[in-house]
Amino acid sequence: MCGIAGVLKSTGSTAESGELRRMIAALPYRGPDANGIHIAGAAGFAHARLSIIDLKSGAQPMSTTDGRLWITFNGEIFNYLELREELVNKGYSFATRSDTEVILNAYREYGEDCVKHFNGQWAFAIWDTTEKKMFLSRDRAGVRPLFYAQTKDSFLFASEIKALMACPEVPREFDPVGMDQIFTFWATLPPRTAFRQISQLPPGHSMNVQGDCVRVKQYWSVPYVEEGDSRNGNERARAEELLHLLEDATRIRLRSDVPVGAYLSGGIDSALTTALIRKIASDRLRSFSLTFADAEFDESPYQLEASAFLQTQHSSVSCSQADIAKVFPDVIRHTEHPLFRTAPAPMYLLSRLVRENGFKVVLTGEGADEALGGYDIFKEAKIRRFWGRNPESKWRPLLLKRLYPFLPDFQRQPAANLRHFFRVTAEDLESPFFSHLPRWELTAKLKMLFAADFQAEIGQYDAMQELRETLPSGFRSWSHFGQGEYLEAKYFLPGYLLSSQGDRMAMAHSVEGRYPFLDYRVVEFGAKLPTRLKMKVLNQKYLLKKACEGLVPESILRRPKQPYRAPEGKCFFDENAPDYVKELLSPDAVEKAGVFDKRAVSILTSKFAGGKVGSLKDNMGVVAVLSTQLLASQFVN
Amino acid sequence: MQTTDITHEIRTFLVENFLFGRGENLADNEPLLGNVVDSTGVVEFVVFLQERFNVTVEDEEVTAENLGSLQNAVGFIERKLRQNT
Repeated sequence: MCGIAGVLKSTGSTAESGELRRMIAALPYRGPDANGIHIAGAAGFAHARLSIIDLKSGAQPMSTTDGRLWITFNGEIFNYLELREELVNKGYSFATRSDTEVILNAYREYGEDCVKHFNGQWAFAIWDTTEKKMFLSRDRAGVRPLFYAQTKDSFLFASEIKALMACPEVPREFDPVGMDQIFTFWATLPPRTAFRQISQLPPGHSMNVQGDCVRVKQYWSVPYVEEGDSRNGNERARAEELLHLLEDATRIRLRSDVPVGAYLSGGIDSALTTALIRKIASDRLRSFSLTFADAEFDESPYQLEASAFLQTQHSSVSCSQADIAKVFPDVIRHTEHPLFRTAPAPMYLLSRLVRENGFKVVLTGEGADEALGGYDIFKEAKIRRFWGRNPESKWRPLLLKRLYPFLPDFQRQPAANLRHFFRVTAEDLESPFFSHLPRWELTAKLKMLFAADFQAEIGQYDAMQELRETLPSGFRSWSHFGQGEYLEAKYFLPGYLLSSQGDRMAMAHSVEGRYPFLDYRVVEFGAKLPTRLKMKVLNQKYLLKKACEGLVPESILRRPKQPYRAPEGKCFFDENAPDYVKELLSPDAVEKAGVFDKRAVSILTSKFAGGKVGSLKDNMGVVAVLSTQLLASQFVN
Repeated sequence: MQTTDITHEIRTFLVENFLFGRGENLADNEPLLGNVVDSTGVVEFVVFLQERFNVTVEDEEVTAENLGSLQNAVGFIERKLRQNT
């Protein structure tokens, strides 16, 4: 796991080492073990290395033995041993034991299709010194980030936006349309980002850059089908097939020349991942978790039970509201994106704990909810659709009370109000975004906080209309469940969740996260699975629970789902809150940043300052405003 | 209490609490429940009505007919105040 950066001059001039040094120097935490720079005429690559595989000879940028191809690579190709053998059989020779060299030779053999042979998490660039062509690629799920920018004489790329902004010709401005998308979907629609003229390569895509011509091509998408694969086969057989896939996904993710640990959240997904590691590797495993003083968020009893059951050596870090407020500026420096929840902040503390214990690699349970029917948004959509088929029913909307048992404010609501909030109209039922409408409409209300001038730049732009125009053909014929999964896996997972809670928080402390549930074979298995095996009535991750039987504690299998959450807005309004909060939320600072209306922000923050807990929307609003103000102070001129 | 006073009080509360002071966004007939007033905000709205106008609002009275718009909420409070006198 590493940081990468590079440049291709389109005017025929030579890449400059000073520029590359400035770019890679912005990412020291992504690669504290070594740095490298290589310039080949118009192209230049930089690399910051976190050594995990082939510690001795895996330095980068790396070239083929003939010096024709150069690569800078962030990530892991987990099936590199099998690919290497395949390539050796085809006559290729290797000078190192690294997966980096496997990419180079796979590119020589398969060309741009080499990525279809990879099982891993990657962002890389290859420079062909003969054809003067640069090939860049990002993994299927979007685990590893890859941003780029085009200036009048250069194409620039890097693992993080701050490395691009190290180049003076890259603007440091918010993109109002990108912000409008974020204040709807929580994420942008790639290639857009929160910043003007900075793009991201979408997950599952590769690109070619030759001269000033940039061509982006999709090489993979999740193969959702109409109503799931209706093949016969009993549940037990399917559960065994899933377990077999997960076991192999875990096995290849244990390939490392440094010790591997595991996150243990107290839920099913990480408990299964940990159980599979224990099954494959006989060593005593180190596990890590977060605890909260606030019982509403704490899952430590389940974590300890899982640890005892799986015989791991367990460490945890306690997170308070004050901790969240304290580290939030650092968190935003790493996310490079506005947030609506504080949840990444505890993850930042967790990766620090991992690193302090001498670990560079952890396996986690991320990705199970998207592929196997775990998210509450899917359950919510199922209930709303069931009710929408008979809108006059008195009892169908009572099922809404089954949603979100972990949210006390929600449970206190009169059923009548929930009926209004989750109301289903005939128009809603026809919407391709049915599953996500409540979330997106609630988030979009926060645009009322935008300053008039900022809103004027957005104009009449309609984010949902743009998304509607990019939906794949056949989307309307997919199962409703599959449609919701697609929106979650395509946009929210890589654009918000994996970046803000995955790569960025782990890499902040030079830790590499690995995700067995995001193995493309598991994702494809999930996409083809009939809905009834993902959510049986309202029982989420039904098949996964079957697969887990006997491997994880019964109490964890049976417990109601509790998504990972952290204390929100109130963290920033304690009497001991850090000074930056007041400074950045002051009318002057808000006006200077130019994104929000200072009176609107003042009304919002006065609720919290007055001791109110605030509604869900208010909490999202405070976190969104503060994170954006932090971005403005750290990234924008 | 005059209708215009009740309207002003409720509008001010809704605009300040749910619309971040952006009053231009609230028409008299704008749907409130599940729209202006979000899922957790209704309790806050009901508590405000009870405390400010000294009335009691039962759970089953949280309906579109009573609180579905600013116009309806004003009518609802007027009826409640008449009952109290």
